[in-house]
Amino acid sequence: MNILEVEEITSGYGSMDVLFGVSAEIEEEGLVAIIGPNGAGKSTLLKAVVGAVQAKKGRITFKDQEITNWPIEKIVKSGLSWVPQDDHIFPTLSVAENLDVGAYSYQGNYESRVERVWSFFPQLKDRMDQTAGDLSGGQQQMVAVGRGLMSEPDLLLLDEPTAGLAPNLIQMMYKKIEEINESGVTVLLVAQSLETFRASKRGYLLSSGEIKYSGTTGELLGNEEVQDLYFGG
Amino acid sequence: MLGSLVNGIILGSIITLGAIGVTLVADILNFFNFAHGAIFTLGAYFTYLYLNLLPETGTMFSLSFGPGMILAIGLSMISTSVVVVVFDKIIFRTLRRRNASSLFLGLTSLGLVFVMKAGISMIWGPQVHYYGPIQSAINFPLGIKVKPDEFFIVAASLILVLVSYLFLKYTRLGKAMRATSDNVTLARASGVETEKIVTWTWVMSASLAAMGGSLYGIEVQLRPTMGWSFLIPMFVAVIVGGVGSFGGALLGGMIIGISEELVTSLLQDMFLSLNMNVIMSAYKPAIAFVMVIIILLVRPHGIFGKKGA
Repeated sequence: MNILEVEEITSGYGSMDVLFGVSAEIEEEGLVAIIGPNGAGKSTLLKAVVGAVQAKKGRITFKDQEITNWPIEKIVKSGLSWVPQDDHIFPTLSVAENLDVGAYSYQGNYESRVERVWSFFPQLKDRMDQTAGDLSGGQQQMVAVGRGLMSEPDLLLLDEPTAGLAPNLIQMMYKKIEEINESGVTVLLVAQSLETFRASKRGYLLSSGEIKYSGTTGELLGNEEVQDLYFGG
Repeated sequence: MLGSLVNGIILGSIITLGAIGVTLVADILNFFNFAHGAIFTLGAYFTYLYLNLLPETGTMFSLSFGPGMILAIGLSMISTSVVVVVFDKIIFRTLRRRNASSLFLGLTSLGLVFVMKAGISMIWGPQVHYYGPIQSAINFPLGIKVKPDEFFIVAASLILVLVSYLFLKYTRLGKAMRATSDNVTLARASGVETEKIVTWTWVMSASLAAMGGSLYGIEVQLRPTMGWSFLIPMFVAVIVGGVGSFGGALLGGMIIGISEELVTSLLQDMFLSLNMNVIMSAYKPAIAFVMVIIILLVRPHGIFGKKGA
């Protein structure tokens, strides 16, 4: 069963379109990656899903409910959480406050939500009072994903969660993403590294605002044209 | 000298109340609200209105007023907030939805100053008003003279500053306000309804301004332009402390208040000793700007300011 269906979405910024009739389906509890060269429209696709940019055409359905162009606040309250690539934390707030804001719409169960974040990122436990902007890049990424998990989402959108991280941290982060997915959260992520892509179960190759290929990770990795387009042969 | 320091603390505490409101709006709504001085004035006049409507409550302790003043200030804070929120809904929200720039929002607030000033003059008249009789000062050692009302002004200001800090630091709404100030898109993506945050920002800013105007009204005569003269010190306090910084507004307010009083007093004494007839109080805004230049040369983002702010 699909938790998210994107049908023929055209979207962009102002008069400039970035996505041209993009369609994708995300299965419940799936771990799906979007890959593609820089400027392909990967981040814009996530922004269109979450309502951060307007969809000019097409339809987005989440949990059998059309959410196309809903206000972003309403979309996240319906069970979808988005961790953007840049500006993904509240830098002047403490780690604890970042997590608090992540659970803003959800009263109750606060302790269990925080415990769950700690179970994935135990490093944060000792840094709860630290200002998030003072943390290292890897720790900030943990805070960002932790904030996204505080709403206990059904679908987590991660935009290049390993961008700018050292190789050892990339390994750690994609393992965490696998764990999050195994805990029952559907994950749609923009994959920057081959490791992160390999961790996913299915993938879409986006190029020049259009889906060029889709399939299982194995199928995409075995496709020569995909290799040429994305992995540089 | 010590007398000037005490006067500076009194002035600084009132500037601080205004500066916190200015910095909240600048940080969350992303423009400098030139109408903040007019809101300050409106608050002072609302307190005058309620003082006249409420039954006489006599005086308390050694103050020149009774519990009625505290009730009047409370009602003034509510009334001023309602007026300001209505202005936001009619004017600023419309402009935000049309993606108006910070410059345009600031210029609109400048226009609002003249509308509010005219409105206050039409309702209460251009003549001066007083809350009550002017109180005599008590003499303390070292030549310090303080009116009992001035203890109330400083204490009330500090209590409100502390309450505001605790509200922003520990409440769910306060955290959401700070999150919105940090990153409005991410706040929305966390489920924060930012239009509600904007409304609460106006409420907090207007309440603090109303309190500041009312406390200033205890000290001076009420005039439709009384807040305008406070606008520059409030803005300067925010710039000195760092735009968006609560601690910066507090420190900036105190620095400006104390430096204006101290420097004015020192220069006045110096000119008197040189037999020069210069009225230094007329140059207080210049002193505030000199402070800005000195501090910004050393700390370009203000004392506690964020880079890029």
